[in-house]
Amino acid sequence: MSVINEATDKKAILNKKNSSGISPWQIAVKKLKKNKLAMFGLFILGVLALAAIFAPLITSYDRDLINMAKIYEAPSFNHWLGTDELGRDVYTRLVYGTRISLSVGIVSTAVSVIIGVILGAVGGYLGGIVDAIIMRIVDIFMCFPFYLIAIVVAGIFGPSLLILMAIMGILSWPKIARIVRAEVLTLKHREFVEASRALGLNSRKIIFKHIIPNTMAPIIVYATLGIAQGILSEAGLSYLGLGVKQPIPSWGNMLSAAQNFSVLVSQWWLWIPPGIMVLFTVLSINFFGDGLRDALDPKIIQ
Amino acid sequence: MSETLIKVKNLVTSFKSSEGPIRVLDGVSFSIDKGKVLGIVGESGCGKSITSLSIMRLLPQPNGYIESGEILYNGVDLTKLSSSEMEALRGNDISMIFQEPMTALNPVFSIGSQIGEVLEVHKRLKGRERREKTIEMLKLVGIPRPDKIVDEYPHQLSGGMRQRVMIAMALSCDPKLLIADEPTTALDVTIQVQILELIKSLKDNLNTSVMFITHDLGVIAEMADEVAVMYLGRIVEYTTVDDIFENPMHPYTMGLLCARLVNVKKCDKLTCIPGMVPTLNNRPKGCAFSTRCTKCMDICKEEMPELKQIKPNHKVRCWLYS
Repeated sequence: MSVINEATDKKAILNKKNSSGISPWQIAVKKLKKNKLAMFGLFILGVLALAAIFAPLITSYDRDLINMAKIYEAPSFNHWLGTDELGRDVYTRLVYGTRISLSVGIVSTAVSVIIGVILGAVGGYLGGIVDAIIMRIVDIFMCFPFYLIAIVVAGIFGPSLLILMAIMGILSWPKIARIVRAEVLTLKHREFVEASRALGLNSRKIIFKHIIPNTMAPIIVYATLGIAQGILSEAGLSYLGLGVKQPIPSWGNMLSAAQNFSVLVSQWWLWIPPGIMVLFTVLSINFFGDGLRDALDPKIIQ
Repeated sequence: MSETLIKVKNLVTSFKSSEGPIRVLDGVSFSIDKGKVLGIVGESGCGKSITSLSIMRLLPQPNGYIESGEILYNGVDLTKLSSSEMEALRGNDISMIFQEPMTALNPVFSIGSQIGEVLEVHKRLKGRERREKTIEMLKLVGIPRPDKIVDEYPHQLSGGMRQRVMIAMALSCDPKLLIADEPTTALDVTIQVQILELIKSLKDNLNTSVMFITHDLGVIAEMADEVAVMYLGRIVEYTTVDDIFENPMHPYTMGLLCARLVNVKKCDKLTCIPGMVPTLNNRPKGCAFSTRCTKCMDICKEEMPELKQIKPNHKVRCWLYS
C-alpha cells in the first residue's frame, strides 16, 4: 500500500514540475477529491446520469407497454420492481423517470442561472437606475408564492414538460441574481477591474470576461443545490398532477400512485422505489454541492 | 526642442457630496514633453491620484466629475471625447500602472491571457502571434522564464513579479504616456530599485512619457525631469528636479525636504510639518498651507496666492515671492 502511495506521490510531484500554471480551479478540484462524501455524491450522480443516458440498454421492457394480464404484480425475477396498475414494468419506468427528473432539474436551473447571472451582474456593475429597476423586478418575483404560481400556470397551459421547466426557471432566478449582484458589488471596486478599465476594456468585456468568472464559485454551488431543488419541485408538481403528464414517467407522477390508500398499504413497490430515488438523488447533490462550496471557498482551510 | 505630449490646463475636478460639490482639484496645470518624466509629489489626499484618474477619465462614479479645464493630448481635448473614443485611447495611447500589484491582476486568469487580452483589444492580435508578443513583453520587463510564467496565475508570483506583469501589460501597446500611480509603494525596497530601473530603461528605449506619482522624494530624485508639488488640490511649486532639491522655494516643499530621513543625524528627532492637511470641505481662507506654514504672514490668511513664474522653469504659489 505504502509503495503505491509513494509512487503516486512521486507522480504528483513530477506532474507539478511539468505543469507550470496551477489555476484556482485545479486547486479546487484537488480539494474536492479529498472530500469523501462529495466524491460519493458525485459517484451516485454519475451512475444516475449514465442510467438516464443508457436507459434503453439496461431495461428489458418497453416503457409504456401495457399488459392488463399482469397488473399489480409483486417484484419477481421477471419484473424486478413489480408492475403497476396497467401492468407496466416499474423498474423500466423508474429508469426512464431518472431521465425526466434529472433533465427537469438541470434545464430549469440552467434557465434560472442564465437569467440571474446576466441580470445580477449587469445591475451590480452598472448600478444606478438600471440596478434599481432590476432589483425591483427581483423583489416582485420574490413575492410570488412558487407553488401557487406554478399551479396556476400549469392549470392554464396544461401540464407539460417544457412549461414545467420554464416556470421553475423563471420563478427561481431572483435568488441567483441577488447572489451575483452582491458579489459584483464587491468585485467592481477591486483594482483589477479598475486596471482593466485603464487598459481600455469596455463594460461588456469587463462584466463577461473579468467579473463573471470571478463569481463562478457561488454560482456553481447555487446551481448544484438548485438542481436538487428542481427535482423536488418537479416531484411535488407531478404528484399534484400538474407536472409531467402520463404516460411519460417521472418520479413525481409515479409517487402520485400512492394517493390511493390500498396501494399505500399493499403495493409498496409502486411508491417506495421512486421515493428512495428522489431521496438519494437530492442527498447526493447536496453532499456534492456542500463539497464544492468547501473546495471553492479559499477561506475554508482543511 | 522637444514636443509637448500632454498639456493640462486649469483642470477642476469635483465630487458630489451631500453638502454640495467638493472641489478636489482646483486649477491644476502642467505639461509633459515627449520622453520626459513629470513627478507629482504631495501628502495623502492632496489630489495626486485624482489628477491621474481625471486624465484617464476614470474618476470614481457616480460622484466624481471634471468641472472645467482642458486636457490636451496631442492637441485633442480628452475631456470632450466620448466614452468609446476614450476606451480606444486607454491602454493604447495612455496606460496606467497601479499602486497595488497584489490585487490589480484578475486571480482567475493566467498571466498570458490577461496581457493577451489587451493585445487583442487594441492590436487585434490572435493565436500564436498574440502569445509570442506576450512572451516578448514579459521578457522586456525582465521576467525570467517568460515562456513558463505566461501560463502561471497571479497567486504564484511575488509582488515584484506582479508589478512587472502590470508594467508589461501597460506597455504592451506602446503607449505614449504612462501614468505610474505610486508603483513602488507596496514593494520591498530592493524590489523598488529594480522596478524604478526598469521603468527608466523602458522609458529611454521606447521614448514614452511618464507621469510619476509618489510621496517618496528619493524616488523623484531618481526618476523625474520635472516636479510638481501638490497641496490640497493645487500645484504649489512646479520646477525642474534639480531646482526642487537645491533651491526649494515654497515653505511646503522645504518642509517636505526637511522631513526626509536623510536629514536625521544621530540622536536627532525627525523634523515634520506641524498639523494636518485640512479637509476639503473645510478649506482655510487664503493660502491653503497658511494653517501649517512657519512663514505665514497676514496676507496669507486673507488671499490665495497665484502660481507665479519666479525664475525660468520655476513656478511657486506663495506670497513670499511677490
